Amino acid sequence: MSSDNPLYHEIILEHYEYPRNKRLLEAPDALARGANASCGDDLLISIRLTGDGRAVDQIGWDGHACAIGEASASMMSEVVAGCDEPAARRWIRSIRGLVTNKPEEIDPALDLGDLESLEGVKRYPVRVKCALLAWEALEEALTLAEQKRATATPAAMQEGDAGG
Amino acid sequence: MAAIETVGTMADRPGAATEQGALDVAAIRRDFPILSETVNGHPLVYLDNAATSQKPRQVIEALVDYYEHYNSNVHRGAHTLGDRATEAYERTREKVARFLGARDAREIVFTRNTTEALNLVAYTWGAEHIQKGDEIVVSQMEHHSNLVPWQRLAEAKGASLKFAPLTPHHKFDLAAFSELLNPRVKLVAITQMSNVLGTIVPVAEVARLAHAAGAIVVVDGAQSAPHLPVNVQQLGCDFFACSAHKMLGPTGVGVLYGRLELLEAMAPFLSGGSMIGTVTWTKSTWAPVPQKFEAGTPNIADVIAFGAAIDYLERLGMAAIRAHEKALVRHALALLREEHPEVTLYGPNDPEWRGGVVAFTVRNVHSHDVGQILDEQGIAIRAGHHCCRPLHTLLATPESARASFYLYNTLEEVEALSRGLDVVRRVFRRVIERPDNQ
Repeated sequence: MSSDNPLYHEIILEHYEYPRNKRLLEAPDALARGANASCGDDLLISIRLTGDGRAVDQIGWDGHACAIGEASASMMSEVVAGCDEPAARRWIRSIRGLVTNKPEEIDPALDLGDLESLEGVKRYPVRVKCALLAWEALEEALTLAEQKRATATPAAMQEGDAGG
Repeated sequence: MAAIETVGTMADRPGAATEQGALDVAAIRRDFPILSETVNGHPLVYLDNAATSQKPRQVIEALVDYYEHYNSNVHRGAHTLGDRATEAYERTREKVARFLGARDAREIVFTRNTTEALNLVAYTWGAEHIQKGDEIVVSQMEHHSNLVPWQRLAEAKGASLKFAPLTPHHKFDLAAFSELLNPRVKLVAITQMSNVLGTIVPVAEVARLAHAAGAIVVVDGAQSAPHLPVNVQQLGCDFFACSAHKMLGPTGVGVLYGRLELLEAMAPFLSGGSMIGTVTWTKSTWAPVPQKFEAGTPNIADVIAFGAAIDYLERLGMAAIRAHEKALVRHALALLREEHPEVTLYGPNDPEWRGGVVAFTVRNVHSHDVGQILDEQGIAIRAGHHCCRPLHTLLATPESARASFYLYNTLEEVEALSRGLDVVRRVFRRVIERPDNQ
């Protein structure tokens, strides 16, 4: 049961109660942190890429955040797993657009699914940071993983070092 | 040992609103225009007074009156408007001196806020007197503004920072504090009332012990000056800092009280106009205290309006205000304990030892969400670490919710808080009821 306010949609509460993928991956390709100094929210996002490095294979996360922040991380971990890198970045841009009331940024080809429940955030600017905590960490993780691949030598890759 | 150091003259002061010094809160509320606001369709229940207080129309009118009738720069002499502005500005200084129980109005320096006042001491007295190997003692519950300046000072000088602990009941542990004292301790910086736990510190005792060990005492009075009778001479502290905006005054004004001998010996903080004596091409001398510490054009209008805030507080009487808040906090603690087993309370249980600040957490619910749902019902509290991150590591929670009361809050508003938490419990029922191992 939710309060009759758009922020605490039943879906958000459900993800908060049963967060998906709330455990950090072993040997991730990248690890990034999303923290909000003013309220003590702190999330770690770990990602593993597919063998060819082109797509996000799995996302695991952990940390402490409000219901919006944790639900957003949970939904993200489900929806971005299996996406190639450009698609993952399209998701990030779309969710940012969703919560900051810039609908033109939302990719119409994406099926937001559970993430539609975050739309209420656009009316509460203070919560935008919460909703985007995981997504901005993901963005950083993708960049880190990319950089790691770019700097890896062919020999190191053969030895499997690129996987970290 | 008296629980609270009270000021005899303040408590006896005529003008407390009704017999026995009880506040006429209904009449008081009519003085505060903002208390008629509605928020999200609900009457505003403002319980964030530790962050800032609301202003009575007397303060607002004093500000407008200044700008409409005698706005002028101060201390420059020469014309009628300037004289009136200067007189009003200096009159506030005298009012603050009386309010805080200072011996001499020259011991009152106006700053921007408490933070600036504390930095002033760190950068002047601290810079001059703290040396390598010295120790600075602070408590475990300091606001960042009474912690970070001392961290920086210690690091710059090669001194060390020691922390006076709390008891398991979140009271100040005087015995443990006295064990920290030794000849190397040169400065004790302590809050008189915690902005998270509400804990009231026995500053007079702390000062006695600190002085015996050869240390000076700097008091962060940001929470105490608005809510308790304060007499700096009785407390015996060397410095005392507070902010106008937390005590019915406007933002942008802070007070540093310093013992005259100390202020006179200290180098200036900021330098420039107004704080000089003579100026040549290459050298300057300083104006006498307190001018020495008030460089540039001060926040004239807001200092004058602050005078109206002091008048308001003195009319009610700080003892009556303290009694009112004690009743509110007693009711809040009892109500939350009885009706909300999902709530964990922080701070001393004993209302004698705590001010009207109640920090709490709701089981398995982030304080941000608690604050959000309360806000939807018009109830304003604060969620986060309240500028006390180290303290929260002790409390084993990164964030907490905080309700804080003032002279215009009512028992009904305390009850509204409890009913507001009913809604939080309804929305988050499943996670609240989840067993611990999940």
